[in-house]
Amino acid sequence: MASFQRCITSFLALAPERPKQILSLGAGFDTAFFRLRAQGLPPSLSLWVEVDFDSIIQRKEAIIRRSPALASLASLDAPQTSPYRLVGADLATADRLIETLRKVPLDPNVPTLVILECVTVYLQPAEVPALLRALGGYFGPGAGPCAVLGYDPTSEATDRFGLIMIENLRSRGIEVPSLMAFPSCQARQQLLTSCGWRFPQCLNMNEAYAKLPVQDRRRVERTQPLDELEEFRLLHQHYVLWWGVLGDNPLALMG
Amino acid sequence: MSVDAQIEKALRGEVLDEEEIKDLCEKVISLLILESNVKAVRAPVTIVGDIHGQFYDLKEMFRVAGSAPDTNFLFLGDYVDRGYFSLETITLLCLLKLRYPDRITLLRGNHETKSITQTYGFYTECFRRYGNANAWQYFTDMFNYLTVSALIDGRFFCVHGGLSPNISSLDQIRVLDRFQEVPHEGAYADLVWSDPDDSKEGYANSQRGAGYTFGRDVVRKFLHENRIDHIMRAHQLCNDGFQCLFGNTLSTIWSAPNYCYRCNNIASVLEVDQFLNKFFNTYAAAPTNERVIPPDLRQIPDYFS
Repeated sequence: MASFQRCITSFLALAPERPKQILSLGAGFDTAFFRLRAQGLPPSLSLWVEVDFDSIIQRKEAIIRRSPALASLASLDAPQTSPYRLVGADLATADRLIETLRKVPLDPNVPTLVILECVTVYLQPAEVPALLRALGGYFGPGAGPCAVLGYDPTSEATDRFGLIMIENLRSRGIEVPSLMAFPSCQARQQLLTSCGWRFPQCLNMNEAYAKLPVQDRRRVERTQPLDELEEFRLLHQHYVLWWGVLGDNPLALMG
Repeated sequence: MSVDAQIEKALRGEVLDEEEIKDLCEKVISLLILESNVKAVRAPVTIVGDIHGQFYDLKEMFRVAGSAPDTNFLFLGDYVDRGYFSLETITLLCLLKLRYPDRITLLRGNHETKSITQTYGFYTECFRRYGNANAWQYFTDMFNYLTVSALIDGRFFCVHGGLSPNISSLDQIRVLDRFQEVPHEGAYADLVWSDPDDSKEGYANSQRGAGYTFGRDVVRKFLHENRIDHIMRAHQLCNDGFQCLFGNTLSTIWSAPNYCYRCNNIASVLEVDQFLNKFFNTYAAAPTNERVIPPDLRQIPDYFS
């Protein structure tokens, strides 16, 4: 997602002399690291850790190994010094996740950006605060500044769009238990606060779009007539970008 | 095959072969070419909004609203794109037009163009089905003949999108050259792309990138100067199937329930009786067991993309 790409680049550009870490939870087959590295890795990136189920991680590793270009970008030939790490863990068991991160080792004293791109929706409602608290504890007070950035579909309990989304996904064997767990931006901000994260923010994608500069929006709108604005707005109302920080020093991620 | 036999076939969701489509489109063009840009329609009439290739929901609409020739229909455009069955939808509507030319009026929507159908699905659907673009060519050539607006008993103005800063009278619409691809801008484009906006007065730029938004004062002036009472249009998704604005002088009618198979909205048609009374007849999507999802398509709509 373009917003995530921009956030990662801005984060890495802050105080460029300080080493930084990216922790991508539920990364799946995301290729952000490879795209970034191909453009020239910022020297401040000390570690990029991707976490997902063992089965996903193993398949991803196999794909990387089969491609000389990817294997080289991932520095698979020098795993101890490579900035790129693939780690198998279940996000639903927060304590074990933390232990796994400790072993990487992910340094809690290094400024870290934690990414949850379309992930928490797949957890059970109780597992989301457990995860956020565990991360908050790991990077908590006394540790280096840390920010969490997430993107999730969201819906209210009686919302028709949400109900049909659940039905449509279920017919493909996909469950989204937390789709309706945090139905408003306010609920999501409260969740972050209750888990120890500060300066919580949440925007739906219509609001995020409105924050783009006017000339960018006009340019995009003129490129091709967009049919069905209502559907576009309906869809984007149901996706939110959310974030929070730890420590006294909030990282200015979004301008 | 007789038209009636072809209609039976179309109702079963079977498409015609290329030669039949070519022949059908040529015959429909010869009917459309005679129609004025502001076609006179007599009440009673049932007005239908966007359908977007949702063939099974079109059949549901006929179950709810009655079918031709018993019911007099005015369709406001957007027959193709987005849904899975644009071919079946436009084929059936063309056959009905051919069979009952005075009981079916077809207006042009912003999707009835070569450029939009290449982006939003109709072209792809035709290519998948026939292995070439001939059927798409025949239908999109026919689209250039669809009329742009209708006037019910001289009182209700019907168009797909809305109003234009370049149009203040119906006569100005009458002299437009509609026999072409809809241009990107100008009066013709505005009529199929514009949207009402009750938060502003006057005309403003549309976020769609084509057409304008227009406010209450524009509608009031248009109604007054043309001695009409109401504007009926489609073009915008309505959760409840319809929406009335501007002190009930403008109605949006939306006839694609559960739009794109993910919006879970209701649809409606607007039934106008012989006394010009209006009734919004609403309906939900056809039951799942009556639908067929083409096997070569993804089983569920796009999410997270």
